[in-house]
Amino acid sequence: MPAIPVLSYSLFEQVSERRLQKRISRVPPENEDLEANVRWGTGGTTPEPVPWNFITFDEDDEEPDDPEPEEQTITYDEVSRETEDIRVENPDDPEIYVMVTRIKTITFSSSENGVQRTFKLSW
Amino acid sequence: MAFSFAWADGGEDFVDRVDEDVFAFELSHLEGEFATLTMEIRNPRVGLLKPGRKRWCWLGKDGVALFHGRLVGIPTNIREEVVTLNFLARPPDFDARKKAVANGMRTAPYYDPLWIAAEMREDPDVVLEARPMLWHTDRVTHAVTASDLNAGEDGIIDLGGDIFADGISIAYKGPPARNVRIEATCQWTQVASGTVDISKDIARLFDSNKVRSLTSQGLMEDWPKEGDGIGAGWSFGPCRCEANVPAYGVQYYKTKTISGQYIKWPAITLVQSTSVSYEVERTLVETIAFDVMADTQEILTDVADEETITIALQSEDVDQPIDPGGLAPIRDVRRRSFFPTDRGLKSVSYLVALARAQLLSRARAVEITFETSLDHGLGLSCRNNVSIADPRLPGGAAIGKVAGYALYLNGDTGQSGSRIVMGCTIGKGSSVAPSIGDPVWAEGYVAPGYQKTDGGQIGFATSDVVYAPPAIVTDGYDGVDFYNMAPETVIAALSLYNDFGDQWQVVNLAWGSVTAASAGLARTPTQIDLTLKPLKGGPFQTDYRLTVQPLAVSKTIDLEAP
Repeated sequence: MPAIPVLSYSLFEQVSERRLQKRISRVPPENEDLEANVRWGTGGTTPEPVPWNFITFDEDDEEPDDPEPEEQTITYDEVSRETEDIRVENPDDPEIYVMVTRIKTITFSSSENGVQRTFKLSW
Repeated sequence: MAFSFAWADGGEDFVDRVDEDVFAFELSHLEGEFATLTMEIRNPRVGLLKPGRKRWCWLGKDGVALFHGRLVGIPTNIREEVVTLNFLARPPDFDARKKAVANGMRTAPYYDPLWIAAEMREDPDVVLEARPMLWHTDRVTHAVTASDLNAGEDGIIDLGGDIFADGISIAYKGPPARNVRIEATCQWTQVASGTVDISKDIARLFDSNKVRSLTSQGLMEDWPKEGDGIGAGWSFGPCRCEANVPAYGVQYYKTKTISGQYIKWPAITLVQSTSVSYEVERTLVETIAFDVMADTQEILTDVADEETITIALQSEDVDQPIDPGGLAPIRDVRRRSFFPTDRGLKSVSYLVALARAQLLSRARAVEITFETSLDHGLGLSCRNNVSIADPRLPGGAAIGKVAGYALYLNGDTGQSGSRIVMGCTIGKGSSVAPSIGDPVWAEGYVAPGYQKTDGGQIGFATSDVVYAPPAIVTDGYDGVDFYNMAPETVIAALSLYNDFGDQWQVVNLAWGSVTAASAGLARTPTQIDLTLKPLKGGPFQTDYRLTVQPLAVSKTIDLEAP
């Protein structure tokens, strides 16, 4: 009787050969821009400053006159004063004299913003 | 001993009839093959392949069926008194039967479509690639099953010393594979998109969270619009910016000109909502490599003769719907890793199964051929193991899987018997068990499985191999977590240039000149500078390593016996 050829592994190995899949293509490194930075904000239209005091002018004038700073009139109201009476004599005849009330200290208040200014006078 | 031979139709029930005079026969069956029957009968002097004639046969003994097969080939010696016929026990629907069995075997860890070429996934044979098994077709019932190469499913037939004394031989089939190296690579496309609201983060740049400056108009006009690009996968989402008037009105700040006028500088408070959007596709690659060694006995003195098998696999189907239910193995394409996931671990176990199958098939390195009586072989199949005892064998005994057998009977000489080839594994019979690992939270307080452990191992389904979970060797991922896209995780830098305080200094340093102050502001507009973490790039590759304990191989022959 011929010997029995044993090929226990032949079918197993044939099946194993088919396991391998096609080699996958390796993706190349991405060299695109990797920066994720942004900045926004512009100066835009710089706001027009608004003068604190409004300027008025005659309707007949074609162009308004811009007031000169030195011609600007600021009104102050007297707040208080400190006075003293003094004797003013005629230098030729001391018997002839007048009594004068003179200011020692006087305080004014601005009608625009209420700022007070005090003047001390030295005679 | 009464043998019967009857012609029959395919699938016909056993016929215990003597249709021909049989002078000799040999019934052989090899592992993975169909059983064959070679018959010598008296020449019937008729065309055996004539249409209408029965071409199948039943061979029986004492009313017990031994073989059912179909006539194959042209009968030889047709001019002689005795002709030789060959039969094959292959059912006509063998492919369908095999396919039906294979459908039930597509189970983890022995089947994973990820590592199988698409055109091969429906092939029934692929279910055996990770199993040390071959297809078996019963020579009587034609039942198709899968039979293990080492452990027969139908049990062990103990022949003891009942073997022919002069018919035993031992042979080494070849060097066993002591090591299998697996190198697997998978690649997929990570896809993610979404929107992140950064409104609060921008507001916090400003004092009291109020977006305001002396150039608010310009800032508002230049505010980003939806769709504006940023780069590296980012763009602006829905954005809005408008002046918050009359809620906060316009705050005015005064300076005095040289001429004594007071100038009011308006600072407009803005109300804004800002978001950034991302939409990316990135390539992720993961590799895993490991070695599995077999715990086997030494049978060769030259270490170089021991073979290492390397299996390399690659797949791009991680993100394809190849799993049942149309699921992709990655499940969620936002994930940054695959192998450590539950599904990934199943793929890892499949790779271990591949290595195990190779090692176990090659561990059957010793073949013993012996002969015994015909009666002992009548009920034998390639799904059996046999056990024999003979003082000439190493260790005096051996157990092996039936790799093939032949039942023969010669009427002229009266010789009959069973020639059996059995394959023996040369393992050491060791055992392995996975370690639970050290508890992370508390020791001895909760039952296993309720808390995370460090150093725990995974036991394979067959309890003969143990391995540790995949460990990262090289992590090339950029750290982006698409499950946690929040301002604190996506913003790299967010700065404010020329805030209100800076601009107010510029105005005051202009010495009351409106023109100079305006020019200074134009040079120092309020600006917001945003830098996000880039999402593009790659491919990102992570390499894993698996530590596998030596495969426990059964010892069915003791080569190390004195």
